[in-house]
Amino acid sequence: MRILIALLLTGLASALQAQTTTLEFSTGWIKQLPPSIPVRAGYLKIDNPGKLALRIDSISSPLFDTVEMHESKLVGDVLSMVELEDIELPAGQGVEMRPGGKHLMLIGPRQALNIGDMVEVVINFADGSSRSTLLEVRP
Amino acid sequence: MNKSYLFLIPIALVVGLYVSLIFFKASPIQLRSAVWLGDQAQVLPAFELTDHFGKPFTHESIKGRWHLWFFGYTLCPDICPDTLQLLTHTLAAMPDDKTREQLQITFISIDPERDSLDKMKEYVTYFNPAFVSARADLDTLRPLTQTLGIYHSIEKSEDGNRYDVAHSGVVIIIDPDARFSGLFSPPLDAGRIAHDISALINR
Repeated sequence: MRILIALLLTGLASALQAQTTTLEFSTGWIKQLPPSIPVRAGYLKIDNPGKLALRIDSISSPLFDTVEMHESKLVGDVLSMVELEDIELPAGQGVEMRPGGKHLMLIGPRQALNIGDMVEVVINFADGSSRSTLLEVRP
Repeated sequence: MNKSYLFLIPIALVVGLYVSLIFFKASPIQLRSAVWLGDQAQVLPAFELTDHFGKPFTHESIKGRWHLWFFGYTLCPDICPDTLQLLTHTLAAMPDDKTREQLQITFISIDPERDSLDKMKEYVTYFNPAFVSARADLDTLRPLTQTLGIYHSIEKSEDGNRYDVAHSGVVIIIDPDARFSGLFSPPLDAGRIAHDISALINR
């Protein structure tokens, strides 16, 4: 019986694992800003061709103290930026971050960043799995 | 009257309108996206900000040139850089240097508590060395932003971890008499802004 449950759990875990491994990441990028500004916006596109919705719970990067998920909005003439608790990746869709919409807020760079540098970010999903991807620093 | 001459009526109307426009110099400027206040242009209330050279930024200091003002804050990594880049493209899209030199683009901080003049200078000149930035504490800034209809708010969470900022994304047009004379509403388009501001300058 124990073996059965263990097998079942392993199967379930690999099924969940399979969900995030099917995600497709398009080249993401970070908007370069002058060195004295301690924040950068990052953008990436994640396609979720799977049949299950996924949720990003948190993001980190070895090159930044903190990474938050934010969304800029234009309501009437007013621009606002709010922090998001998580980002949903609906089944068959995903998320496209872009200037003026959902984006990463990378806070506290741990080293100087130059145009062309590749910055690793680790994306942690609600199911416990993680994926890492690279964002290119662009002008 | 012979019916075959009826086609001349619309032509005569157009010619008449054109001649009267030249005669009265009623500037037939075609604006593509600006909201133009025309005769309703408003004299700004007295204000004293400081620009990023440390000089007073007042009525007197801005007279004699056209200005585009954008409000924002340096810790805005998403929309503010996008707008500053768009304003760089706007300058590039103007027809000639003579027109360009008559326009000053200025970034005004709505988060003066966190924005120092040094930081603002580095931030705006990163996008274009011709840009200027200016700041004042919120009490000094408010009468100016209220006249311009610029909404801005900062909400801090109690633990200080969240800092939500909202501000009007319009670009304000100030004429050479230091009057609030129009604006561009988002979504902004560099080509249209360049067209309109050049038309106003060369009117």
